[in-house]
Amino acid sequence: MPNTQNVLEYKCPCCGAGLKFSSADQKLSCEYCDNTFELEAVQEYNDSLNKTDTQEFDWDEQQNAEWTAEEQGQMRSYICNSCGGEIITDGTTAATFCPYCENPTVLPGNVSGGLRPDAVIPFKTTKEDAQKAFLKLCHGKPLLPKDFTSKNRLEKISGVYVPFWLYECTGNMDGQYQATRVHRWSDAHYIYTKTDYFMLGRSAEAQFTGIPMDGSSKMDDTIMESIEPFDMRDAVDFNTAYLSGFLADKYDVESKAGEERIRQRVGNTLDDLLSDTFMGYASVIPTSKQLRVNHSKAKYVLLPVWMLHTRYQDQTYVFAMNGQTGKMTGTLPICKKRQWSWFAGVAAGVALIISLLQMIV
Amino acid sequence: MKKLTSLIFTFLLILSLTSPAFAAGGLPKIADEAGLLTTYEEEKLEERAQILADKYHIDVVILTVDSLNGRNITAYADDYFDYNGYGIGSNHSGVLLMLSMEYRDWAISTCGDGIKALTDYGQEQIMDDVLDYLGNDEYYEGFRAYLELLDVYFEAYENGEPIDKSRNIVFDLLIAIGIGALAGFITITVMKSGMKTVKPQRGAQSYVTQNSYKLRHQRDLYLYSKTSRTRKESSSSGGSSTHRSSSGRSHGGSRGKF
Repeated sequence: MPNTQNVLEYKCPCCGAGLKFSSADQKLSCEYCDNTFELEAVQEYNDSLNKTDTQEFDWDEQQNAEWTAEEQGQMRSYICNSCGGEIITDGTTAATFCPYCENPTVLPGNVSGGLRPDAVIPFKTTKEDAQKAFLKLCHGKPLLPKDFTSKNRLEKISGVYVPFWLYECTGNMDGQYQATRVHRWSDAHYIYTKTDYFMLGRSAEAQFTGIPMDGSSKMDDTIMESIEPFDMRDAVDFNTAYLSGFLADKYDVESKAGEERIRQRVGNTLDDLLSDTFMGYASVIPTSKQLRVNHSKAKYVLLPVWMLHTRYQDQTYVFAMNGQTGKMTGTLPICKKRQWSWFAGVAAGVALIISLLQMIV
Repeated sequence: MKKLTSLIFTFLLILSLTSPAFAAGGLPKIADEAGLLTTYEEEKLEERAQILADKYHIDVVILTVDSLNGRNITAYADDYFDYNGYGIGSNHSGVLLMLSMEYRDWAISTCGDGIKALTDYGQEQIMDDVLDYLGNDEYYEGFRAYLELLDVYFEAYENGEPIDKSRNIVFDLLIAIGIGALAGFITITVMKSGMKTVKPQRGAQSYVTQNSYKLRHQRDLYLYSKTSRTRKESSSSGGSSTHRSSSGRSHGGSRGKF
């Protein structure tokens, strides 16, 4: 493997500093000279700067081929355009920051050619939004340890473009069900129960567009599902400039691997849709169900997610916020002491009230 | 002259309050139509019943009949009480014990405060003792025991604690602790559920292409029916159960054989 490869950095046309994509005005902005620039303008400006670099597209040929299993585990190194320092990353990184000069850096090799995403939803929320959402998530939680929401924890929130597969498929469901209807009445001595038995047959079809499934082995699938949905109407054609100032990964899980999970979700959806047609029954039990899912294609997209990995008392807690809608999820730590004092307090209080009621009645 | 009038008036008033003839419209407390008691016994019981009625303002009536003429004994007892004008005060408080000799039936009818003073459980306890006598045709002893017991039950009622199903304190305490623990558990479970917002999606409803959902086939086929029945269970918690008599008044009571 070549030791060093080229990186992409968007230089400010005004002062030459590294530009970051700003989710607030959906443009590239310079933190140093306070200017904002249209994506296209900066692209052209930087392209003309890079023309002097003759070996620019050397990597293209090599990296169009996808990584083999061994290569994925390997570290790669790049030279920072601003300070010349060496940036070490793993095989899947597509955007990061130079560890020496903090300049936002895009590694185009992982997002071009065969690895070029079909689309991207740019960040619509800022880091401050994510910090606020995290504090809101922690607000009004009596079982949360007091020292959990410290300021340095909030600083660690970072914006990540997570690789996702968007599946397109058609689902067919044929089902047979046994259903009952129950009537009850009574006379002076007996309660009567009449149960009517039915056999129900149902068959339905639905098309699905864009069911997301994260294509990064670093991301927890459940956490990525819990920040759904993403609205693909905001998706735009991919441009490396969107990655500037964020972290980004390329996919390392094939779209085939997600098909089983997509099948479950399609099946559940059809189940739910069919159960709306069971009107007036006391119970419905499926006797046989057949699900067919025809996958047509999977689109490769980068979706914006604010991530917070944090440790508390030797346990890792992961929080994620949908960078488009602002939906925040995570699992907060529970303080055992608070939990038991709440239990004891409520139990004793209620027991006391019940005892008093027993004395009065 | 004025003084004399008021004196006579006061005398009449006292008479009206103490004399059995005045207190409940001159009705006999003991109506022994079946002739089970001697005149002496009847007078003794009458005196005793009168004392109870005066003390607690709950009328006490004992009725014996040869036959019900085919009527329901509960209705008979209620009607005898209502239509003869028994009962003290605006809510016609009173307790009537009735024996019918034809099939050896007994019944208690309670009204007004009598309902609260003699709970279902109370009536059961009283008749447990009294039936020992009645079963041996010892009617005077039975009625005397009955009136003694009424004194106990009425007094308990007047003290605000009518005798009812006894409470098991340990059991009550366990229930209170159990409900408390359950409430505590529910509280922390609800609090804990708020701590975790990470959960997998169930379906993919929001990704269904518009108007692509088609229900291609739908059939509901009726197969057969089954009917089962269960006997109603009578509940037996504490308190007094009541019913309406033919006069429309609310009565408590119980019945049985001796």
